[in-house]
Amino acid sequence: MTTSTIMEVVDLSVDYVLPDRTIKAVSHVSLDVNKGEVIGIVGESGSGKSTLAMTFLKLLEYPGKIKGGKVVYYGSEGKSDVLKMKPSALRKYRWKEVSMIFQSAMNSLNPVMRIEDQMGDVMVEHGYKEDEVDERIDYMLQLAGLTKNVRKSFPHELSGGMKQRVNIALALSCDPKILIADEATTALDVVVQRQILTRLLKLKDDLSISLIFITHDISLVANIADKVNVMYAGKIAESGPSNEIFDSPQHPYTKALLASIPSLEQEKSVKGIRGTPPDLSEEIKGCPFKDRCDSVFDRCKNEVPELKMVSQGHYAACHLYGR
Amino acid sequence: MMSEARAEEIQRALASNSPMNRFRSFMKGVWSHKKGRAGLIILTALGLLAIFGYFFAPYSPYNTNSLAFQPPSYQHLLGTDYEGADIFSWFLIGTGTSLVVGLSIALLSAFIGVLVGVVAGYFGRQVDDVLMRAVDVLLVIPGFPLLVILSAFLPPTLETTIFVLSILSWPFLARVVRSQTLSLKERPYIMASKLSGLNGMQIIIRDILPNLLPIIFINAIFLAVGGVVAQAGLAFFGLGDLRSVNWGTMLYFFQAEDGIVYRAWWWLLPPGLGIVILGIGANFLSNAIYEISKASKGNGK
Amino acid sequence: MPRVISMEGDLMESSTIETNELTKDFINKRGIIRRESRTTRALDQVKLQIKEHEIFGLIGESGSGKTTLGLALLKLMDVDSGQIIFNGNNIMKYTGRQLFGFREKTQMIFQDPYSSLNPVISVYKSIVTPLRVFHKELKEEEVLNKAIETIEMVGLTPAEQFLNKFPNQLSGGQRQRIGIARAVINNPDFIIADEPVSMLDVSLRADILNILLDLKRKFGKSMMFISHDIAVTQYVSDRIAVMHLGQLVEVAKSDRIINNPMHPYTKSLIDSIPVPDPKKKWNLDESKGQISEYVNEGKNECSYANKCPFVMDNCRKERPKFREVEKDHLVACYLYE
Repeated sequence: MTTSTIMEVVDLSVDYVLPDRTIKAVSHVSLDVNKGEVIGIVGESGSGKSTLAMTFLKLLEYPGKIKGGKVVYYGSEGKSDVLKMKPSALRKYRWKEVSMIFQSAMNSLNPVMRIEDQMGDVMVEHGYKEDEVDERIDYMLQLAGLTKNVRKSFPHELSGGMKQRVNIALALSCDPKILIADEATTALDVVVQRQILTRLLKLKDDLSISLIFITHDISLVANIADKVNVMYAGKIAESGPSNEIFDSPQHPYTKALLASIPSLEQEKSVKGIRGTPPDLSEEIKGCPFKDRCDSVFDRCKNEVPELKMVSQGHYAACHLYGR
Repeated sequence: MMSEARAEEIQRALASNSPMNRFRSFMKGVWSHKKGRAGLIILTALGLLAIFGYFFAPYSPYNTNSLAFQPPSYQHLLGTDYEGADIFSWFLIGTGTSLVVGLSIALLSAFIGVLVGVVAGYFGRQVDDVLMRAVDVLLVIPGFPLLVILSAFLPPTLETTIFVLSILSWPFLARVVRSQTLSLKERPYIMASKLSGLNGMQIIIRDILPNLLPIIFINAIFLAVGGVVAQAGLAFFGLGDLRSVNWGTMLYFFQAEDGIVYRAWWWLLPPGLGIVILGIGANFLSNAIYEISKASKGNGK
Repeated sequence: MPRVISMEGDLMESSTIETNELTKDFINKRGIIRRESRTTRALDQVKLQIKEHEIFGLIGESGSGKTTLGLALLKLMDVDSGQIIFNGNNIMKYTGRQLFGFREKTQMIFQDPYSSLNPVISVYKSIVTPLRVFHKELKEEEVLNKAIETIEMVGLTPAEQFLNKFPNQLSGGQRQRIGIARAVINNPDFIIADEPVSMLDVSLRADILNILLDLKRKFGKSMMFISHDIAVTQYVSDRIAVMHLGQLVEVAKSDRIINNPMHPYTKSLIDSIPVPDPKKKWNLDESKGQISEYVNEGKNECSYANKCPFVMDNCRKERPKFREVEKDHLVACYLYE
């Protein structure tokens, strides 16, 4: 870790323990989040990216189970392991230190409460005084690019994009240090998505917070993230600065993923990745990507590849690199 | 061109999808489900009792040569009633009648309920309006008092009881089926079937009914149990055919002939337990069917 | 006879389907005491022409009416006014036998691979339905052969492994292929693909897109490809139409739409697409924009007037007509009058 590290995930593994099988949703993931940084976590469905995000807030519920590792948060009161926090500490930690905008955020507002009441409740709960709350609601709505008259609205009176902005305002309402966005713009149209994301990035600069951006859309990550983690089958396949990941992807999965999306700029023909991701409830021998990989060789079949450095700050979990 | 061997293999594969095979694999699923197996065992046992009970009854239910109100003994496994008739024989024979009544009610009311529900749900508009108003009327009529009145005026036969109970039980199922149909008919696969040139009736039969089967089945089980209970209830009040031997008439005579004064628990217990066990078995089975059908339809997510 | 229009000099192409001033209103009644009714115009005088052997892309945001247009074209939804001409015949009043004949020639590929296949019907039975309905004369063996051929055409080999499966035994990508097989087995003249890849994982999308392109190349299918994803749409489409709140605002060849968008809405749309290139980071200064919700209430005005940075008085007086600004590039905007 470096001095500016604010969160550190160390060797984290999460299982979903079902009566008849155990799904290894996340296995041995490590990553750092620095102050003021935008971290992108990219993966397809079932790659474990959302499960990972849940652990950052200790939101994992039955049948999810932490198998090992820790999530260290470096707060103003020294470092602490989020996964060991007591309920009282956790209540302070959520919203005030780390907050999250969910994939289903469009429906996460209470339909029978006015926006101002919902925001006020959160702030009062986290120690803001009644008299400052009022002003703060205006400030937060304005930060999120909404006008004051949204205060009196009910959620159903707002469009999808506006609701998502209310969620941003809510998530920022207690001055968190880290904001996690889990597929926060997936359900929105591109124009609105761009408006919301540029707003979010601006806020990140203004308030110097860190952003963890989780999505399946690798193009989107390229446009906004400083560092990118590509997840596959519960593991990090490749991680590094976003320039490197897109200019010289190393892991065959990253390469194939980039080759599978049509681009507006080049006239290229796209190619899907054959096969499907492995069943995480079964023991995977060797590299999880071996059955879909074009550069597979003997070693991949038996030995699990570790994340190895391919250049400064750029890691890939593939036997092709770093013998 | 396809090779001979391949063609054969394909034919075999397709044959394995026959309705019979699918039913068999469904029953296998129920059997390997804990509650499902318990439910199947209980209901099968009751069913066997209903079919073969008659042949094992040691006495005729009208044989009143023994002493009245005898507690269980070797001669009379479940004692005797106020006339000295053998209660064990009454129970064996009565189970059959009770279950036949329940089953008939289930079949009749499920048939009407499904027909009305599916037609109203799929075709909508005026058809829906008319049918659902009829359902509403039947649903708001207080059932049991009406039953009592109807039974008092119609000839007191088992057929009357079955008819009356069926008329009163189908509206609920019609409601359930209609709402399920409403949600099913918005699915894209229904649109795909329309695009494939199928008409409304074909879509109902091919796409909608098979998806409703589990829910129809579960409801039919409860309709049957409800039928048994309601028939017993009517008989208990002395309505319906009192000459028939069934759980309901057992209960009626128990209360009418002072079974309680003589503390003749052996008289009350068999029909009472019969109803309870039937209910438990039905509950287990329907639970299992629900869970299995949910899992097999699973949206893959 | 199909109407013949001139395209690219002396090359004559005929259109498979075309619409004229297609309009459809949805009326929402709300309020319990004071009944208010609010009209939303889902289709506002839509005029388009889809040619033979062409993949016609239709892009627009959610609520722009693109799915409504798809349903209207296939007569799965009635419209209020306008015309739909299919293979030269006005199909607006089709019912009964005529509608049945129309059904034989059209098909649809759906967005959601999970709900577009009936969970209780096997793959084989699902995909051969159109054959069984429209070609009762076919023998069992012919149907089977056709099914196997089609399943393998959509990349599921060997076919016998799939015939017997039920949808819940297949992955999303496989289901979507079955959906395509069902759509093409009866060799329709016109297929609508409504967001066929938006619910699939990124790595699986490419193959589905390539299958659609193959269908066009090999069998010359006309297709309308509805999507909100512009990059995906331009990959498969020959021409693209842009829809905004029920109005078509621009129609042109794919590369012209991408490289030279003219309508202000198309411009903002193209501009907002994420590009997988970190050097093209977004400019954060434009983050001040406000979002508000507008609907097309059926007024005679440009549907984009409320958001357009170049809005003029004209835009609200009368909706702009399509105008051929450059060859085969139609724009409905007063900036180009």
